[in-house]
Amino acid sequence: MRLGLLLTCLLGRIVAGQQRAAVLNPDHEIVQQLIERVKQLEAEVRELKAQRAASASAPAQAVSAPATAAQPAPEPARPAPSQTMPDAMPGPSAGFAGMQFRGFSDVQYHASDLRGETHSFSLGQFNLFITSRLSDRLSVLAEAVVEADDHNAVGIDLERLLLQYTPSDYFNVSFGRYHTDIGWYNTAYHHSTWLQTATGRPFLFEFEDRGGILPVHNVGISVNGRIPSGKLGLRYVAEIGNGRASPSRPEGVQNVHDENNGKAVNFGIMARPEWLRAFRAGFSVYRDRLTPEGMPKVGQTILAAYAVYQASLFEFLNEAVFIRNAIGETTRVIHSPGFYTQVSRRFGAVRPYFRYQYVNVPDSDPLFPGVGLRYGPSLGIRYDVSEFAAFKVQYDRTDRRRLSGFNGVTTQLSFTF
Amino acid sequence: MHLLLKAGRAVGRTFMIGAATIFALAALPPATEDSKAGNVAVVVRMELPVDNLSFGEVRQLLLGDRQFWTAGVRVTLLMRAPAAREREVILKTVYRMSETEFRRYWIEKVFRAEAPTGPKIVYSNEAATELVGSIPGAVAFVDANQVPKGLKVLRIDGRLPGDKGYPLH
Repeated sequence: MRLGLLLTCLLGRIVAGQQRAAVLNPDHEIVQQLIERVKQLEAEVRELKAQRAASASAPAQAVSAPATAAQPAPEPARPAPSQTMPDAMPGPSAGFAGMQFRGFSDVQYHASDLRGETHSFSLGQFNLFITSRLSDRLSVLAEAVVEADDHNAVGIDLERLLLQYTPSDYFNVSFGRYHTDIGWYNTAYHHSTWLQTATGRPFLFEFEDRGGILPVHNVGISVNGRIPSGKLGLRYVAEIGNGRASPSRPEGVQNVHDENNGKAVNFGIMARPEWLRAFRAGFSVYRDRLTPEGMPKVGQTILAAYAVYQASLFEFLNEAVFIRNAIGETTRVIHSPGFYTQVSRRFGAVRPYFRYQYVNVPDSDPLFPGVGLRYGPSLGIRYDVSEFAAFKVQYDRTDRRRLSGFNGVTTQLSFTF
Repeated sequence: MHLLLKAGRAVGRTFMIGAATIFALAALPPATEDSKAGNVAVVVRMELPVDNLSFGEVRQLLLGDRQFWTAGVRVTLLMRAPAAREREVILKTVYRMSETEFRRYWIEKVFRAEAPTGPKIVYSNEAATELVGSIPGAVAFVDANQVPKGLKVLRIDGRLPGDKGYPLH
């Protein structure tokens, strides 16, 4: 029995020894040493950053206050968080501590058999996107676009300029010029072609200065936020602004002067379910009154609905818009429906896509009689040359009411920087 | 002969007891440090009136869909720099995105005015926890074995790093 106890003790010691050996094995020691070394290096990096911050501030002090140059050098300042940790925006966009820049642009070649059009290289919009956080609740956003018109003249447009106040997830108010929250495409891609799968917007969401029929831009106040709705992920938006100018006016967006005292209002609700992150659906109602020169007033109501599935591999976009123009005091009402559907699937860096679009504006419409009926498919391929650049080729077929259809091919290099 | 038989029985008993001891030791739960190995902790300041988040809420935070804590304090996301293991865990388990998709996601998010800024980059767990201590509302995702005292590790669906079923590893 004593022998048994003795052997048990021996075995116990062996097992304990093995455990200690597992803890004290050479690999473990090396790992511990490496951790220590990393800690030392981190401390050195912090010290160097502090020194760099101090030396960076030194020239400014020398310029602004040369009289104090003889005074003892200040202690190295602890780097502010904004200096030590740039935002997760990729490297090329790194800007000043309080201001972030990002650019978007494209170059394309377009050929078409439409009479009057020539095959041309063209510069796309040069889009400079700027954001700045003024405080925890205040931020500024600007989207300035430099672009050439049909006469090759280059001009600058301030497409968005917003001062945003966000006290909570449920209330976010923005003042300035914004993209009207009609449908999905308009507020998803703004003025970036790089973000879009296709070479450009569906005709339904084309910009005002390119013949678009929707009030894409607005100047006023926009409020949005979450609606407590659990996993349904509901959000709301409410906007009030000048609305778009009548087509008889030279400028489509009423930046500083409204053609009447009535204001355009827009209300929308959208869902992004937690259990289907790639899916979004929404509905909005827009109401405005336009006063074209020499014509009766037009009461405009725009209903828009969308269902979008946009995952990394698969994309399926569907939007429909219904424009109702009521003319003057009469009972005459003109309806203009439009929709598009787009589907794409990514295979590595290549993403083939298909879009079909339809817009039907009656010839009797008081605002856009020349648009008419136009519909047709688009077929294209997007190839991501790098993380921040894409090459696209797109074929478009457009048929029109009482006019001959036409074909077009566009190649585009779009990028962000 | 009798002595030999006695010694043989004793050796046999000893082996039985020894084997039982080894099995018993093997069945013991591993040490706490080891059980947390590879887990990523969600770390905030002690004062933050949140102790537990659902995994869905963690996703909302990281996706920028929830930008305020319940107390009305803005969330500041602190993410490890690319190639850090903690970042890879977060991208894989929460974002379910590649590095490229993650970057594009935040470009779109900010461009759409849905968030004023993307997550902040930190280059070490130590720097992350230091900043959590100094920025109200900051939340960092760091190695569970490198959380200093004085900070709070949030439970996810009631589980702490090292618990069975903890999702961030």
